Amino acid sequence: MPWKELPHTADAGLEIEAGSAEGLVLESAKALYYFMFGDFFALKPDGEDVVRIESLDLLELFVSWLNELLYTYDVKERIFYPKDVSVDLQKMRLSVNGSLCIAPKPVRAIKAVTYGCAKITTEPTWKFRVYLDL
Amino acid sequence: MALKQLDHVRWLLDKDFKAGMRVTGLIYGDSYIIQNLEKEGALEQIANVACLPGILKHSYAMPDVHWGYGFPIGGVAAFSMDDGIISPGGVGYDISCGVRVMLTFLDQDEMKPHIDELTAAIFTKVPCGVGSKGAIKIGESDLLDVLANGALWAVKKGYGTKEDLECIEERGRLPHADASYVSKKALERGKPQLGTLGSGNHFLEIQVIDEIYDENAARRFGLNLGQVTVMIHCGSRGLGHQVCDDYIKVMLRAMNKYGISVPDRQLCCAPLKSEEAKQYLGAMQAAANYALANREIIGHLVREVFGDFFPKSDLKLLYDVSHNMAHIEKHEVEGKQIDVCVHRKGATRAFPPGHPSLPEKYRQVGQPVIIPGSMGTESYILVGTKRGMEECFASTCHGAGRVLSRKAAMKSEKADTILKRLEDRGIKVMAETMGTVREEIPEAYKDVSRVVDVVEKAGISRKVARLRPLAVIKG
Repeated sequence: MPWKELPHTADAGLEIEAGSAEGLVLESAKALYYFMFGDFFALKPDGEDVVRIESLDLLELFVSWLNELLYTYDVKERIFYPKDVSVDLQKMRLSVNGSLCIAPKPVRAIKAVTYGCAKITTEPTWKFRVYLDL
Repeated sequence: MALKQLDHVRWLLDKDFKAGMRVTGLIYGDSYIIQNLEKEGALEQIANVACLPGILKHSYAMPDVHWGYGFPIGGVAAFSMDDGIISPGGVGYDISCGVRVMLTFLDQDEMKPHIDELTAAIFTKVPCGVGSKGAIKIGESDLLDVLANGALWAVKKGYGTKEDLECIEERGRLPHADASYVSKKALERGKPQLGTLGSGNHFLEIQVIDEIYDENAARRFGLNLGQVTVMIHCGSRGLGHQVCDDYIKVMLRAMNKYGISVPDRQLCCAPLKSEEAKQYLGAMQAAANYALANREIIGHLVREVFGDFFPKSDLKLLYDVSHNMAHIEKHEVEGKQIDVCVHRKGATRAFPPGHPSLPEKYRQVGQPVIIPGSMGTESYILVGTKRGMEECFASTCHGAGRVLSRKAAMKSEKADTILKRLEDRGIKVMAETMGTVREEIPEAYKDVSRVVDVVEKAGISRKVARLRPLAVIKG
């Protein structure tokens, strides 16, 4: 798996790697869901959705993306699995088409994805480090 | 050693620890607490808070301090209304997360034969766990009423009593809440979750008072040795999380506008005099009202269950206080009484005797301060002091404070052995997920007794009573 959990005294961190911005969008979603639900990959879709995000910079774009997934889970009780990802790095826009799947019972709760000690790098690979408020 | 020891429980973090610090850090702790603090990133976070514009006196850390995000957990900072800031990261995602204690008129012997069934009945009645939905259904107009009126809404709807309102901070309603500053997304998240405990470190405990330290204060608070109590710890659920997230984005843009830079993005903020601050204060108070209503409703559900088992039972609210909030309060700074914005992130307000905002029945003795322990350990009732008011903006600790990461805690022991260990000590545990039980093992936290001993030795609050758990409900 291209992500790992980072220790934190009260909460938890995730470090995710991918070969591109689009790949990082997908892998960061998988990492977040894996943290929440464990193995969720066998789920079957029961709907479609689109997520669009605009931000000031890359870090806000990726933190907002993960927070959007938490909102979708809270309100729709669904996992949003990305199918079609488009990142506009000039305008700092993200557009994701994906499938909605009924969420299994979570094993761990996340209140929010924070900016505390969050970092994103693009060389030599795309890497996103982020801490979760549990 | 970055810290200078001032006395046996006070440590100073000098301004030369980090470039940009405007004030020193003042940390309360004994040698064990300070050793733990130096191992992790909390010292850096205390210094980062000290860099914020308009900070007054010190960047404070209570003895339950640990690494958070932006502010440390256990951090307190007050800001000038003239040139200071407000920061959503200084309040946290779980806006107005807090604790209440309700007093029964039962003793441990009366409770003992019923404890298993009563705990199971509360576990069924009070929704808990991740994404749990409320025991009550409300529409959007009711939700807006909750955001405007807090626990007062709950009482008007029959989920609580008028007497409760006297014993909730701000009388159960933050008056400057403005739901028009709360996003549609936050409303969507909040609507189904009212009356739910949530998960993580949130809990509901049935406890017994097993030690009285201050007879006078205990009498004023109505606390007796052997008396059964109920403690509820929860917050503003998804609504509060969304408000915080929304306003972090607002503040990131405001910092560009006002030329503010901060050492950690989670500390993003806006001048207290700005339109952005006005909007955040309105939305934050609305979220706090949601949290106050949430705890009032859960308290009502607990009363209903107790009523089923003990028809003559009457649970009285001791107090309900938040430990994740920013309040505009009057404090003395450089000899003058001025309004300041006090951020308490994992820290509890602790007003001293005589404070005008206290309910009449507590005004002579001071504010009850509720300090929950970790799962299976004791909790404490403290009282606010004059020294705390003068020295650290009427603030004290909020709990034990973690020392072990959740990942490490998960690896340390299986859930069934934890449950057995607690059962052997007479503590029944019911949890929505066993993962929470493993993450919340007592050893993951500092010794809460050590933490409260520090605030007592420092004189910033005083011990009144100790509460031993009989049963714990976790999300």
